[in-house]
Amino acid sequence: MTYFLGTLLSYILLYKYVAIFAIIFTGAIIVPWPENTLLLASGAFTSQGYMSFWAAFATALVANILGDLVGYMLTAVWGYRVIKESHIRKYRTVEKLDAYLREHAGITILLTRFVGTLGPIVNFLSGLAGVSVRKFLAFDIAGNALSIGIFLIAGYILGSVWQNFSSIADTLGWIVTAVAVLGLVVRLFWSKKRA
Amino acid sequence: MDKKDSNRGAQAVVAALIVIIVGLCFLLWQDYGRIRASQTRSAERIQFSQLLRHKTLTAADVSSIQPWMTFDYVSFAFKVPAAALKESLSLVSPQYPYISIVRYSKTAKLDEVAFTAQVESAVRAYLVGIATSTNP
Repeated sequence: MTYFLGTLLSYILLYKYVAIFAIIFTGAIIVPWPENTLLLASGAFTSQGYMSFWAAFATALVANILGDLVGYMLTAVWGYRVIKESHIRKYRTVEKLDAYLREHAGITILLTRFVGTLGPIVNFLSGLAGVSVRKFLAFDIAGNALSIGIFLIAGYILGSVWQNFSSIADTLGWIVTAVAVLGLVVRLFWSKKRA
Repeated sequence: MDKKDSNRGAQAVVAALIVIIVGLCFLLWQDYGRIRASQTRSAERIQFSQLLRHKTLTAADVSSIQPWMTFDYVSFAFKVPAAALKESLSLVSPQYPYISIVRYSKTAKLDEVAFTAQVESAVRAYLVGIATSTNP
C-alpha cells in the first residue's frame, strides 16, 4: 500500500465523513484520488461499526454529485467563451466528441461514474456540449448511487480483508477505463470512415 | 495523405489500448492467483457471515494492523481500551488516540515497522490476557 493511499485512509479514520466529503468532492471535480479503493475501505470500516453505512453513503453521494455539478457548470458557463476568446481551433475530433455526447449523453454519464478518471472529463464535456442540467443530474445521480453503493457494499462484505482486494478494484477500474476509451476511439474512427 | 496519417494514428491508438487491456487483465489474473494462494478467499467465506454480525477482531487478526491506522480505530476494532494501549506502549502525545501509528512513530522518531510490530504485540498481549482471565 502506498504512503499516499495510507495518508488518505488515516484522514478518513480521523475525520470520517468530513474527509469522505472532501476527498470525493475534489475527486469528482478533477483530482485523481483512488476513490474506489477509499470507498472499499470505508465500507469495511462501516462493517466494523466504526462509521455508519448510510451516513457514509449519503456523504459520498452528495459530495460526488456536487463535485460533478461544479465540473459541468464550469464548462457550461465559461467553456465556450474560453475556447472562443483563446482562439483555440475547434478540432474535428472535439466536434465529434460533442456530437457523440449529445447523442449518447445519458449512457456515457451513467457508465463513467464507475471510472474515477473518466468522470471529470465527461462532466466538462457535458457542460461544453450543452447537455441539459436535468438530464445530466438524472444520470449522474443514478450512476453515482450505483457505483458508490457497489464499492461500499463490497467493502462491507470483505470487512477486514478488504486490503487484499484493493489492487483488484484498482486494476478493474483501469480495465473499464481502457475498454471505454477503446470503444470511444473505435466509434469515432468508424463514424469518421463512414462520413 | 492526411487521411492516411489519421488512419494510422487511430490504428496505433487502438493497438496500444488493446495491449494495455491485455496487460491489465494479466495483472488482474496475477492478483487473483496471489489471493487464492494466500487462501484469503476461502477464509473470506467463513468471515462473511461473521462480518454481518459485526465480528470483533481477535488476537489472530493483529497482523492486519497497518501504520496508517489510528490508535482510536485499532482500539475500536480490537475492543482494546485506548488507555490500556497507551499505558502498554508508554505513549505520550496530546493527540492520542486521534493520531495514526505512522504519524506517531515519525513524531517520536521511532522506526515505523518496528513500532507497528510493537502495537501488534501490545494488542495481542491484551487480548490473550483477557482470554486467559475469562477462561482460566
